[in-house]
Amino acid sequence: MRPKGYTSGDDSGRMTVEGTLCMHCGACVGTCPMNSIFLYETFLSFDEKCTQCGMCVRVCAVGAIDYPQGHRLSRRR
Amino acid sequence: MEYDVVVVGAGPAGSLTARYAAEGGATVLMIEKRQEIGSPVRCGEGIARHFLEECNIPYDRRWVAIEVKGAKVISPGGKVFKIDERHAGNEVGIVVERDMFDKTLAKHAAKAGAEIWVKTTAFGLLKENGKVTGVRVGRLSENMDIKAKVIVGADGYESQVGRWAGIKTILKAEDVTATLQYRLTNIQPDEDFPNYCEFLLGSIAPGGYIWVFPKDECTANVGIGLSLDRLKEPNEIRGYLDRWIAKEPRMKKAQMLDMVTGAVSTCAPIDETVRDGVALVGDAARLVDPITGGGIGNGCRAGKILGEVLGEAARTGDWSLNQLMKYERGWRAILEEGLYRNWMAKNKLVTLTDEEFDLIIGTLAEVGVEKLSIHRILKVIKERHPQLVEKFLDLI
Repeated sequence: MRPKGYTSGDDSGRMTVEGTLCMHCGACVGTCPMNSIFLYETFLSFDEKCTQCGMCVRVCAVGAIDYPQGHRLSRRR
Repeated sequence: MEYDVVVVGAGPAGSLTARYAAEGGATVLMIEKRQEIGSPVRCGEGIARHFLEECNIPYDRRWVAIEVKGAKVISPGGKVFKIDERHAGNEVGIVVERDMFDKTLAKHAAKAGAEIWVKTTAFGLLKENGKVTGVRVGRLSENMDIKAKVIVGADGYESQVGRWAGIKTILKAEDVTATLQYRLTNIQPDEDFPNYCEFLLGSIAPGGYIWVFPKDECTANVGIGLSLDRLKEPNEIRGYLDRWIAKEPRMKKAQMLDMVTGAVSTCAPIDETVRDGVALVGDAARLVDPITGGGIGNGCRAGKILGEVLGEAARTGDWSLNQLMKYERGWRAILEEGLYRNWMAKNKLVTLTDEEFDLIIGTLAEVGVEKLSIHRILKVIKERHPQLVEKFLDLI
């Protein structure tokens, strides 16, 4: 269903998506081994199945996906 | 609301399925999540000619960017192996305008009687006693359940339909190729540009390759595919492509017209592509060639088979899993062996060093190979450099 409360760069609690970088290509969606990511037209959301394995972070060519703030692998300061 | 068939995704595989199913007598709805079919383009845009005729796709200048003479395979040390387009495999011959190509195929589907909705996202499958009986969609502001005899997952690399149906489409990192492409213009032509599709191999693109597919006399799709298991850092892929472009004299003054990201599967054929009430086709069915990363030809060919099977189901009233298995067997008969062989070969190719690529491509350039098949190439290499083919012996 349509995710609620999304703004660019919003924190899903599991992974963060920088909405202004995302190209909506679906590379992360197809790569996710848990099927945790859903692309609603141009709107990316993670659900509770996410294990923070990081495959989506590596497959994204524009660096739109990051670990949440405070996570040891987060690039956000 | 009820249809015989709902096709999720209006790419080439979806449109071919919709067209042939509708032509065969099925009531068909094809949905597309984006507001425009074919756009944004997420593709290198190289296709072969041979499948067009097979799938009854009439040549139309409106979706042709340029026709090339063949392929150039270029080793890290600059050895060049040129091959005529007729023998270059599945992704060389025509460089298309994918947005126009996809719209043309959707028009064919519409003409055959298929209904098409854009800006319509699939949210999940409806199931009764383990059988898929429909799909829940959001169309603009409206959510609705649509009943169907068969839901077709033509929803691309990021396919949800297969996963919802319980079909194993999950990929290992080594079978995922992450991609980035720029459309560059103001490229300085050389003696062969824009007459060849170029494939550049070696450590410039670990576990993948860089491609230059010309669009016109000074414009090309310049892209890179890298195996996901070689990528450690975010944004690494861009570094690889930018470093290569920076060193390429022809592209010194080149400027970007667009940018494309994405991923393709480079896996072995998956175990099943149908379940009761559901079928996968195209990239969603993991039909992409594991060596080239090309999926249009295979997607169209499989789409035609699936559409014909669904049309037959409409005429006979047999929508059973047994009937759908005709599609499963049909695509495997024409594609499975090649996909499996190329997956095996890919697993060897990703282990080659730059020196080995130089030797192999240098040898091919000297000897000349009339047909670009793995088997033929290995035979040639074996004659000249037996030590090199040791890695590949099980493929010969």
